[in-house]
Amino acid sequence: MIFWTREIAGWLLVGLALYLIRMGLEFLTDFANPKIVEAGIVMLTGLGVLRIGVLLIRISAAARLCLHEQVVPIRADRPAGK
Amino acid sequence: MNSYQDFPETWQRFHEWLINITHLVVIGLVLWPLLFIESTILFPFQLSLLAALLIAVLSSNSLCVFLALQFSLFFREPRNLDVMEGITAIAYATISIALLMYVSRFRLLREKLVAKPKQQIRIGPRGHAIASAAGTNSMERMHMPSITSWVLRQLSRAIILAVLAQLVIVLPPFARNTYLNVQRSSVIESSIVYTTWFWIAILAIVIVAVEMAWRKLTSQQARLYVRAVVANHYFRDLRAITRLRRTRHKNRWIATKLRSERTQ
Repeated sequence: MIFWTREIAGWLLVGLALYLIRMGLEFLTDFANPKIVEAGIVMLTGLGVLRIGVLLIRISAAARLCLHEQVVPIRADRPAGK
Repeated sequence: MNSYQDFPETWQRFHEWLINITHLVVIGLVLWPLLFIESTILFPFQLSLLAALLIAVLSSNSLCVFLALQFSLFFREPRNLDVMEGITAIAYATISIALLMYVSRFRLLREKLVAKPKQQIRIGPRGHAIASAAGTNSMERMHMPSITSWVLRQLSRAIILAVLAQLVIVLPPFARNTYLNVQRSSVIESSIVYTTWFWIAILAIVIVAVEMAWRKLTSQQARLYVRAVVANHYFRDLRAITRLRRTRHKNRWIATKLRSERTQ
């Protein structure tokens, strides 16, 4: 369950990162009042959040695979019907 | 006194120091106009910035030089749109790319140039006499063609990249001259806004595809990844040791490569 929670948190962070990147691009494309420095800050933050989100997703997927590998042989060792 | 090792150690050190200083002075003289042309930054600040960059160059850190060039372009370009056009722009891009290439290979090239006079001294007049009797100059055969061809190859690459960059950069809609017109056109402005959504969607699709592919890891790969992440986050000392070993291994590899080049 903890892995799924992490995975969901990771996807939420990825969504947040995409929103931040979109906000940064919006700052750049505002021709009347371009905010270049602010865009840089927001984009960097977005990239950091994206990295953390992707890391969470990957770790949860890898940890689930490891756990699955540990659980499956134990079940296979048990006699049938127990 | 035919061997370089026979010279006093202080002389050898002075010789290497002189080569380093010459390199840094040349890089500094090239970098200065590239960074501070038409700049209003105070002279002491320019000097300190240049010194920081040269220190980065010593460790072959071309990223710092690249970022400095980008910052310089970023802050200069809006002020004067007609500063660099045509041949000037190509020359600027060529010099910048060549400088970045040089800085990224600084340590290796410096070793080669330091080794060149050593080889000359080691061969000595007798070696030259034998070489000339054989109809070839062994020192030149060993070093000059490799260095010259390397420089020529890198220079030609830099020129090709600069011309390609020029060709790409004048394509609409982000060409410098058309940028002001783009501002006035509301149709193009809205299309640019839609383009940002397009890129965000592309990014999201790429992330989802990569993460879906990630789930096809084997259990061994998954275990390795988890271990790597744990070591990375909780055992910083192990990470530092591994990095140090990797750097030493790289230095040893460079030394072996240089030695094999000299013996060939």
